[in-house]
Amino acid sequence: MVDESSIKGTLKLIRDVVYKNLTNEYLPFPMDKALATKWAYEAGVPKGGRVILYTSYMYQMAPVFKSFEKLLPTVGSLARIGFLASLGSRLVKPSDAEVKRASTVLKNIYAITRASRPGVGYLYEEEPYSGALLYELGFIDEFKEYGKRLEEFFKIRGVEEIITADPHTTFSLANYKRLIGFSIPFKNYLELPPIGVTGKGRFVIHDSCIYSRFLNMYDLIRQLTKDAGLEIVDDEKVTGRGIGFCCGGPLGPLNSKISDEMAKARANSLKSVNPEALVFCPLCYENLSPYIPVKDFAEVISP
Amino acid sequence: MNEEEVLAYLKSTSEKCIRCGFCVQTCPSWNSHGKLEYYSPRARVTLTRGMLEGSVSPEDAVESIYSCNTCRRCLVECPTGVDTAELVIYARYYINQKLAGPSK
Repeated sequence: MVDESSIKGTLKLIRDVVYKNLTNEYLPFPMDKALATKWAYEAGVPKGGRVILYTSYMYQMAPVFKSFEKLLPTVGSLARIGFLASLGSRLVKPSDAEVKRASTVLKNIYAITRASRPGVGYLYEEEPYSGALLYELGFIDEFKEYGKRLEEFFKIRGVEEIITADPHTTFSLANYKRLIGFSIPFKNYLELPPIGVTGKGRFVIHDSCIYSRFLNMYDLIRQLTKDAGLEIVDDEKVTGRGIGFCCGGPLGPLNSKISDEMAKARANSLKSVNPEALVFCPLCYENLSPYIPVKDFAEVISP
Repeated sequence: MNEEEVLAYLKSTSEKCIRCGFCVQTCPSWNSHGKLEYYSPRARVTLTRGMLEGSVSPEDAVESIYSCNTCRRCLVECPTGVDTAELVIYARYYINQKLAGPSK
């Protein structure tokens, strides 16, 4: 059971502290930007540009986002003493293995993007968080205000097109477009022509709820995996269009126990179809990976 | 949507629910909460309607509304097309105003 006073406290904290952090620093909580941007330095991604790859730190910080519930009290105490971006070392960090894995994923997403958008850049330490958490928790006014700031932020830096790497960021931009008329064109990297993308392996796909039921990408994802040479095992009752259950990720920030229960249930149904699962979202990966062998699409392909 | 439009949206959307319950068994949150009706999509819609009518307090609804994954799985089964995931986002907005205080 979720404690009611705990929810009230969390709501106030998000409204008063996390939103303030976003307003001041474009980040919901302190994070280690050196870790988050290391992949781009290694890949030699140009800084800035008219077209940018926008990660919103989702792949780099998914383990931290998952433990947001535990993180909130620390965020609150740090905010009270007036620190933020410089204190990443005091917070939960992804492990070295997790950082390495995220780096592989992002380098491949970058390579896919570069094939059809030569010269695509990245904002490195300046990159802002998308604000997805505000929308998901119903802070609509704050979400809209933050969206206006984001649009201005990108325009000042000369950004004319945004390529996103995950469903939550893509959905945030789609919601900004719907709610405030966000005018910068954006696409998810999966929507780009998959030039030279090949891979191998046999998987059951766990569809991200956002990709399959909000952004209508169910067919695109199956076509993409098939064209890349991956063997996909589907079962209409487990992975059919619109049918797939959630990994439990969206509930993680407020109730990690129930979120884990959902992940276990989803992993068991996926296992009944195939021993190894394929995901397209860093939060799906985080939730499911303790219970079933799982890979992200961008780590099993070679662009 | 402004606040007035949010209230109108919540009212018209929650009134579309015919309480058939086709959504209930498809909800991963309901399944993980011991299959209690309170954690079902149908309950979230009913509680939202109750909050607007004044028969349910935000304190009584908050746990149900915040236990939704907003995964939209229930919409697939709904014969009247109630998008509980979107309704929940705006029900949270309503609750946030009441429990965390008005924005800014």
